[in-house]
Amino acid sequence: MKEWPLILFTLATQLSCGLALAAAVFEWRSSAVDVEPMRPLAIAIFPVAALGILFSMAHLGRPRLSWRAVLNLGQSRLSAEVVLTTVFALLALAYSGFWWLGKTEGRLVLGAALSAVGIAAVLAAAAVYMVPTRPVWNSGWVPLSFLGTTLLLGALAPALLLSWKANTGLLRVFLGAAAAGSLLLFIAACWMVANLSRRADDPFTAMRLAALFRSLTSKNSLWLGCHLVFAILLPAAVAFRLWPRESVETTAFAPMVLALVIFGTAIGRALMFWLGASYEPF
Amino acid sequence: MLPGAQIGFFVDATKCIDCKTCEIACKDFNDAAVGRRMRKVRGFEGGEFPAVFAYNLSMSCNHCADPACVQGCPAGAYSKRSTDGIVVHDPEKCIGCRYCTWLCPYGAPQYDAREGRVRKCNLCLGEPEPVCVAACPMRAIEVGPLAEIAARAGVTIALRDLPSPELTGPSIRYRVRKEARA
Repeated sequence: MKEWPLILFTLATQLSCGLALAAAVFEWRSSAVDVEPMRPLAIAIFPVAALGILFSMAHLGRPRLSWRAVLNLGQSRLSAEVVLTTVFALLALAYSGFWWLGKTEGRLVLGAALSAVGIAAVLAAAAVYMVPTRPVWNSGWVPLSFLGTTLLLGALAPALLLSWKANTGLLRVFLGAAAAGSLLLFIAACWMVANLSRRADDPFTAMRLAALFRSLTSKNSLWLGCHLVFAILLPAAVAFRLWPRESVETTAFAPMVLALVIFGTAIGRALMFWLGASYEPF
Repeated sequence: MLPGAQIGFFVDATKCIDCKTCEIACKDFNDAAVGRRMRKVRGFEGGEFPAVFAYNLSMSCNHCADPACVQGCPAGAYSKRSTDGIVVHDPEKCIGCRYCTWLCPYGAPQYDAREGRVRKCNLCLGEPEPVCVAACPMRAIEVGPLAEIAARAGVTIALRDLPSPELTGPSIRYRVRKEARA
């Protein structure tokens, strides 16, 4: 899999955006004294976003010319993605800095702006793949998958890594968001398979889609199964298990569960790149 | 650009013998790295016994009417010349993001890991004629005004084994046996 930098870049950006959303919701729904538990995750937003940008640079053949990636902003979807991701990272730097310094004035507004730009960056990243010359990707399942990953990872991280005592109502907000994220990923996976089994307009695309469908449902079905189990069933099970509890203490298993969910989303992303890469006739 | 000014390829698949001389000439001229094929020849088979058929196609950049690479390249490394419609790639501007390799339905842009950038057919600009055309021993490849090529009898743009020409409007016409047509 030669596209691993892009897998890590998209996942890191979506995790970072999800954490920004979670931090903003946490602050919005909590009193000033209750926001302290969220501090480590809010500070992590910028390093995760920066790590994502470093991964994207690793994908380039000539990273020293990466500044040129914004020169076709009017036409290229990739230029739009680069600009929005860069703005997101700069805002994330300010937002994480606010949390680091304990500065509360204007933080909620900055968090909301960061979340909005983050979602725009995630959608712009999805638009990069939705091109007519890649019929496997040129479908709504790609943005759905990206948004589902954002929601899932951003909501599950605080739900698993923080301890919840008095504010279990907020925990349920995050568990509901994580379950919604895994539902979006499930719909995206079904849509992806349906997209492969559809009737194409031209014989070449029909042949390619049929071959990919056979491969996905036979020799690569194990990977599809891993994605379904770890990125969809596992977070749904966690949400159902924690939902009725009045008090939840984080345990040593919580980071392992989160790592398994990230692994599941990475498998799904790897499948996406593998499917889209197989189209040319030569 | 005047529609009549577009330069295009004519590939006569009924003459191509899969010798790959065009491919080697292109690699040699462009000093392409191992595995990087800016022109490619591929054999296709089809039909059901006893009515089976096979044919070979030689293809490089098709200098499309609506080139996805020009629009999509974030670094502005691609341009389409207004005088003759040739899609030119400037490797000096290329950042090696490989987005063009996803956008082109024909696999024309070839990423060279050795140089960290993409290369593709620029129609051997500066040469009297493209080296693939000059090298083909069967005279199966020609280059010229697309309007003239498209007006030839028995040529087609849509093939069973190629992506739909409606995607990018490739400036190429083929002569193939009727079974290979879309």
